[in-house]
Amino acid sequence: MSTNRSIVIITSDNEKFTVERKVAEKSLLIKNMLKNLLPVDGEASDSEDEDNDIIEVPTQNVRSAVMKNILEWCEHYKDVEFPEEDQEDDSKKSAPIDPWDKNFLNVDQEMLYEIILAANYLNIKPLLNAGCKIVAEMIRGKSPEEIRKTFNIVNDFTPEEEAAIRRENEWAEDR
Amino acid sequence: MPDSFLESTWKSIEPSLNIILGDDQNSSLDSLMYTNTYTKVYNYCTASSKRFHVNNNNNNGNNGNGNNSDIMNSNSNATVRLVGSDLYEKIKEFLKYYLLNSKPRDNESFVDYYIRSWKRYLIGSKRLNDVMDYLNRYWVTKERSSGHRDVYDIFSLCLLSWRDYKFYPNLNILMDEIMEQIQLHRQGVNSSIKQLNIAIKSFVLLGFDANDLRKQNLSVYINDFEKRFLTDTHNFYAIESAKFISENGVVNYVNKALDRIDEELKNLEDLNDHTRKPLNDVLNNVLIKTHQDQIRNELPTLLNQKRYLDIKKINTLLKRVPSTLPLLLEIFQKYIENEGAQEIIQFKKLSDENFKTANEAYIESLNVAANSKTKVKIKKPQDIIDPNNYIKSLLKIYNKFKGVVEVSFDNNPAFIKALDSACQKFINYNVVSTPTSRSRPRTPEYLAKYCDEFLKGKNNNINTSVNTNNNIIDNDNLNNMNIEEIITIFKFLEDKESFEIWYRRCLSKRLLFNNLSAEDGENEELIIQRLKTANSVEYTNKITNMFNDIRISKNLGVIYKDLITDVNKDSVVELEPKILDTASWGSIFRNNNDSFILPEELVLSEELFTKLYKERHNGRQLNWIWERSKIEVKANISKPGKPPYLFTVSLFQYAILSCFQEEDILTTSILLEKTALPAEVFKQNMIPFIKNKLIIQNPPGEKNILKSSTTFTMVKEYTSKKIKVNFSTVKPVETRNEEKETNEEIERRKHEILKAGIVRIMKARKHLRHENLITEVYQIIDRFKPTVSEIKSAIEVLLDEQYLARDDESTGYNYLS
Repeated sequence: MSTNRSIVIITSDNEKFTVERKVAEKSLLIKNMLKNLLPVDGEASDSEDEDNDIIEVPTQNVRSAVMKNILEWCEHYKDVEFPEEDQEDDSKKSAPIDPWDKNFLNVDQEMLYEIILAANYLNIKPLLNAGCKIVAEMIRGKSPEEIRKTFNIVNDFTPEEEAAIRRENEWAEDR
Repeated sequence: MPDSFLESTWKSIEPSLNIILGDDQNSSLDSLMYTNTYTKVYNYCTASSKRFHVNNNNNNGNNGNGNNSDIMNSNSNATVRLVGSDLYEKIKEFLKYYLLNSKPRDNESFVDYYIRSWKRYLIGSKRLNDVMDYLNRYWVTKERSSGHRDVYDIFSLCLLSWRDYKFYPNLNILMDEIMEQIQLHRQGVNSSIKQLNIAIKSFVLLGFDANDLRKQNLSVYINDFEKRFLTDTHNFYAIESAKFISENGVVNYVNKALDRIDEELKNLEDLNDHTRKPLNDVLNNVLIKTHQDQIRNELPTLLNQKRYLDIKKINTLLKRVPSTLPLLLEIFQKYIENEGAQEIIQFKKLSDENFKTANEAYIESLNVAANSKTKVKIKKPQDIIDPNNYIKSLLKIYNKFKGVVEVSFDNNPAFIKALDSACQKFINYNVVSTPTSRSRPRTPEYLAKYCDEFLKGKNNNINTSVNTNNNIIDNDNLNNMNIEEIITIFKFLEDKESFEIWYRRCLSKRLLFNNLSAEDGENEELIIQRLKTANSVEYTNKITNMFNDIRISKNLGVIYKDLITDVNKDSVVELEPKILDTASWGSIFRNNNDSFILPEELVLSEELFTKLYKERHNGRQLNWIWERSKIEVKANISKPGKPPYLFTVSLFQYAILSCFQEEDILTTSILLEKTALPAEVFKQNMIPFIKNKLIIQNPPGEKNILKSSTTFTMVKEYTSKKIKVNFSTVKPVETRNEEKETNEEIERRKHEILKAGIVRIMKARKHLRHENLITEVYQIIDRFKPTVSEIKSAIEVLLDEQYLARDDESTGYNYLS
């Protein structure tokens, strides 16, 4: 399987995006899959592999409008090697959002959520992290009421419940 | 309660899972199947969480946002547990079922089947792990981070399932077949099983550290493979090596063992590197340690047969087990000692025979001469032992084994040390050096004489008298004498003090009687330099001083010559003085002819020189050693018209000739009176004149020389083919026993060194017990090995001289300042 082979990504609404392999491989899902499709000894060889230079990758959970954005991000970062995810590394979690990412994610809330979900589905960790940080920024420094307003959440706590939750979380209050 | 979503999800992914792990048809995986499976798992996990959430939060007002609510709100209820465990259990069951149902093909050995299916399963496990990535990421990771160590990522779960359902239940047959293959391989049987290493390496992957799945854990490999492997290996080689060594002998065995070790280490590539050390230990034990005595004991035989490369192999093999070497070194050292001793015994035997032959030839020629009135043609053999050949014999052994150390033992310092110890032993103690166990080693003396030969002549004229019959070593070898060899033997001498004294004795003769050429001088310098380096500056002090004396004397001679040009020339003679410091030379020359009367014509010269010397060196005592003096005279007794003769005579001979200035015929009694020479000295000095027909004796015959009435007549006209005649080779009067004298000197010197050493120790210690003093003396005396009795006698003398006193208990000594 040649490495510079094109990848055709098919979205849930059946739109096809033809991209460079390394762009598509920003998604661990796709990267692993390409690796795993290599035939094993004795396994029936896939004739498509030999004759056709195109691999189609169906991504049933992403619609084309979102995929367009995702691929823009992947294209932008195609030559960047992201370090292996290390769950213990807290410094990266608290690092500020890359300005390009911030601008890139300056979209309406619904698109933002869909990008986050797609990043999660496609396993693109840097993008997922950036998206979550944007959401965290939206919460930071706001009162519960403001947060409810931002995310369009109806307060379904009774006053007693709310008081109990406040007491439980007193330690976290910013004084 | 059955979960319909789980069931439907499972139903849709199960066929793909079979393909991923490998089914009977070897169906291939395509991208649609792959992403489908992934998406199904993803949807199951996220949708289940959502359902769970929705069920508890009916009032969620977040409309139309589809799947995102699980991300935003999953923590709003602390009791939410991510779904996954049901799916995980399903996978676990699936793996168990899959593995239990997989069976070897017909005619397939178990190990073949194991290798084949393991290879495929390993790939399948990686794929399954990736396809289940979402489950790994969100459910497994969180379970493990909250302490559920019995939950594994899917890949580890696959390996674990393999271990439990495929590996352990079949471990015995697996190990039997693996070991069978390894043994077949060792026996050189080509095995049909390929990639046995894959089966072995599976043991490594099947070890787990439940706390850190990424960490390698060799427990399975070590317990289930390595132990058995090592035991079987040991057993195999125990039998093979015992059989091989008894059937093929040590040398072949050593080759075999080396090959076996190479093979086994090469095969290590197929094993985990952990096995390297234990395998090495097993091989060293079974192949080397077990047979070490037998291997070592082969050394003397191989040395006898000069099979040095075979010895090298033995060394290579035994070197692997350092504990086997000390005994090998011991055998090697003993062998050299013995070879050295034997060589010298042979040398002695041959020397004795040659001496006997030479002596018989001499006696024979005496008889012939007596009968036919001709001259005795063969000289009397002088010494049984020829120093050159003796030293060459020592060197022969040293060089031989130095070569062995180089070729067979890679110049390993331990072997060099063994060689040195052995050489020290046989060089100092052997039948020639120490004929009895109590005799003092004579090697230092022989080495000094060897040096003398080397320094006296390059063209071998030297060894005519002694060596003509002595063909132990070809004379050509003497040309190869070199300083390196001298130093080699010198370093082994235990008694360097004796060597120094002998060396100076020989040197004194070279300096006084041989005209040293520039090249000779260079060699002398070189040796002194080397001795200095090999021992100490102090050691060569006296030797250096001797050279200085000769040099200074030359200068003094020039000054004297200048001085006498001012004085009436006829009344003084030219002098070639040699002023020798008693400290360096004293032992060599002693003046014992005090009665001698210096002929009058020489008195002025003596006085002039003495005055000159005393002016320059106030307070020094100057002793003239007449018996060592020589004089050159011009004799106007040639036939008319011929140039005068030049006679070289000893000073005593000159005194005799001087008497004939006024009278032609003199009797013994008058000559004795005029010269004041002791009768024997007179006789010996007279003989050369008579033999060379310068003086006619009447009545003739040696026995008549000392008869007071015997007359001597100086010839009027002397005839000789040579213009220069040397009469000065006078036979010494009392056959001065040089050896005895030198040995006495050595004794004295050692005694002094011991005394000085003891005083130095006692001055520092003030009090010491007898034994401790002895020990310390041994520590500081490095030029020779004093005997206890020598030390004791030195102590006795010091007690007498009141440097020391016995302490109150009489077990030690006090220093008296």
